Amino acid sequence: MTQALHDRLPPNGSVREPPYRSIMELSSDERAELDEKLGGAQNYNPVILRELARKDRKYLAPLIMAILSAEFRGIDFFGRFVVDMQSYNVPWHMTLAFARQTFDESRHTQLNMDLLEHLGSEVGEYPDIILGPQRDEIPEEELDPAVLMARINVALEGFALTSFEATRELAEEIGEDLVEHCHDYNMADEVTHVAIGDYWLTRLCEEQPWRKERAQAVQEEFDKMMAMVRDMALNYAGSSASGSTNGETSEGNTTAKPSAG
Amino acid sequence: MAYVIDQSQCINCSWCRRECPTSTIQYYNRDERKHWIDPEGCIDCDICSRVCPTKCISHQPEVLPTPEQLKEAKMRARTWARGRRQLKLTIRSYVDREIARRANL
Repeated sequence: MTQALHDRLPPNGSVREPPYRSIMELSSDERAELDEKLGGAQNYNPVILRELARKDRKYLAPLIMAILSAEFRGIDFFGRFVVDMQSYNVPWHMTLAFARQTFDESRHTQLNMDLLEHLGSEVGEYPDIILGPQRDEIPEEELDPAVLMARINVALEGFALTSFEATRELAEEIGEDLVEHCHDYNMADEVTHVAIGDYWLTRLCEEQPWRKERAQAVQEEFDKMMAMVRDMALNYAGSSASGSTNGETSEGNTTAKPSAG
Repeated sequence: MAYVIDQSQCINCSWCRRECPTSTIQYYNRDERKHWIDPEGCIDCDICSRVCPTKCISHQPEVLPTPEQLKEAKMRARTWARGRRQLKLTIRSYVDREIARRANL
């Protein structure tokens, strides 16, 4: 039997400085520091940060870090898929497609880390923004290749397109040529990732039609979740801007469809 | 007139569906599991065609909704536009307040 990876690796005594931490795990000092920089953790949100950056460039670095944390998560997910998919009876070329995406996410990470430096920041200045389950916490039945494809490659990467495009447009508007160029480049990769996901999802559904229903349920769940997250952020912004949640604002938010992240 | 998605080129990224002001772009309700535009709700706004990353949405002048369908679709689009405007105003007003608040710290 193959030994687990952590048993095969030597003990790691190295310490990362600053340490990795998610936005949910900040100490009170770190939270105060984030408040100082951004005016509150509620502003550490790509939709709000893009608008803030339109008025003041210093908000561009936390925006890039928010995107970078998704790229880190992408390496983790796709890298693990390369291994996990070998337990399923999927075509070898599909596994290779995941390997390619792992490489793409690594490249995006490198680009965004360099962008952070360009903007006078570094990894660790802002916490990791991505919430939701870590890969280890996903139940076994959710690891079906079609479910993963529908959730990550098609739904999530499809949504990422709008986020990259909105960031690219912002960079163009405020004259940040390097950010604009890098995000245009990232977006081309994301389009490929969605295409890869759609191609293999179609192939998997052809062979096992029950997977189509599961993939559809995943897409619907994702759409609802994105609409809910957006409404929550906007309701907060609406109530803060007006002093309280007023009926008009709430109606405006709920009728608005989820769109460019 | 209406827009049509070339399903051999569509990658199902959903961008057009999220942007469509009349919610007339459908997904997963046909056998081929591809996005498609219900011409009854299309108001020729061209938004879907502009956001499509694979440029697979084109204008098809021969596909026509009835005047009643068009009227209903335009009403949906107006509601959508009001929502979008409200959304933009909400974010901008919040951001303006935040910038002002931080400038006074």
